[in-house]
Amino acid sequence: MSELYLRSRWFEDLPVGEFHVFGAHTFSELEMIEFSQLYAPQPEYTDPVAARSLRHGGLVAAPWHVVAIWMQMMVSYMERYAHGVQDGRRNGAGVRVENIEWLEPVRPGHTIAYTYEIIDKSETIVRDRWSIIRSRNEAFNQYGDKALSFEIDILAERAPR
Amino acid sequence: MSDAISLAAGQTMTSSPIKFSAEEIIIFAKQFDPQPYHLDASAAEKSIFGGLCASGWQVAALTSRLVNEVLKQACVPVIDVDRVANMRWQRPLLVDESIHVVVTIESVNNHRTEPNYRSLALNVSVNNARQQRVAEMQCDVAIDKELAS
Repeated sequence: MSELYLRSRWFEDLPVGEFHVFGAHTFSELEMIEFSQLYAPQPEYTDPVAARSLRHGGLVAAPWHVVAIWMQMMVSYMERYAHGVQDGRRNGAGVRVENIEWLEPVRPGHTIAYTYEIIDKSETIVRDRWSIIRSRNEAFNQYGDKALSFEIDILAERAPR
Repeated sequence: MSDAISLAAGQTMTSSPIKFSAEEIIIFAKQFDPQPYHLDASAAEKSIFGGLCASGWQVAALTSRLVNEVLKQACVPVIDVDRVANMRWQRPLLVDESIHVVVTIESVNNHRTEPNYRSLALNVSVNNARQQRVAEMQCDVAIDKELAS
């Protein structure tokens, strides 16, 4: 992938309408089970045999696992474009997430592509130097079916004046 | 609907707590949310949060786990979370703090897409041991229609 930006960007540099496919991940049975044993210990996520007779007819990724991989992809994406920022990032902490919907089960071997689009910016200043960016985030499986959708508000650092 | 569910709007349940050790916070963060305030105590002290704290997604996942546990204890045949209308992170969850959830049933509904299930709309308050709110979540969970009586 070629570099998209020449510089690290402040809140002011991020336009509404910006859209990226920022990562893709293939889920393995092992990682699905490892996640679920710690965070979602239910047989539809941890036991491939028992899962056959449960809701989805087979093992699926825990809902928050699909979202955790979004975060993993997003951190890696943000780091790639945070040129020259001392601690490696200028965007970060989420304050609110809305309308999370898990629309299709994610099964072992499925490859999920994650997209985001900036849909709104609030000029309100938080703790002296941050403002909020709202993005719509979606994830699609290898058939093109939407598996996940949500909107999130994250803090972005404002340019020094 | 002929299948009566012995659940009513307004009903409230409180879960047992889960504690977050530094090790557990860092294990999650390394894999899914590798930002300095979730990985490194000295970097975290200089951050917006003021100390090493758990990823909001670790809090979210364990909130759903606690919600499922407290519903099961109340004999509700819960499947899992289906939709989160809104979640707000209001306070960082620092090392060795614990969370518990206070779950209020807002409404009992038919499931939107799967006729074998019903859906509970819940309001979930995620509190620390000092009863300060760490996060708040409005969510829908699917429940097994056959077993809900």
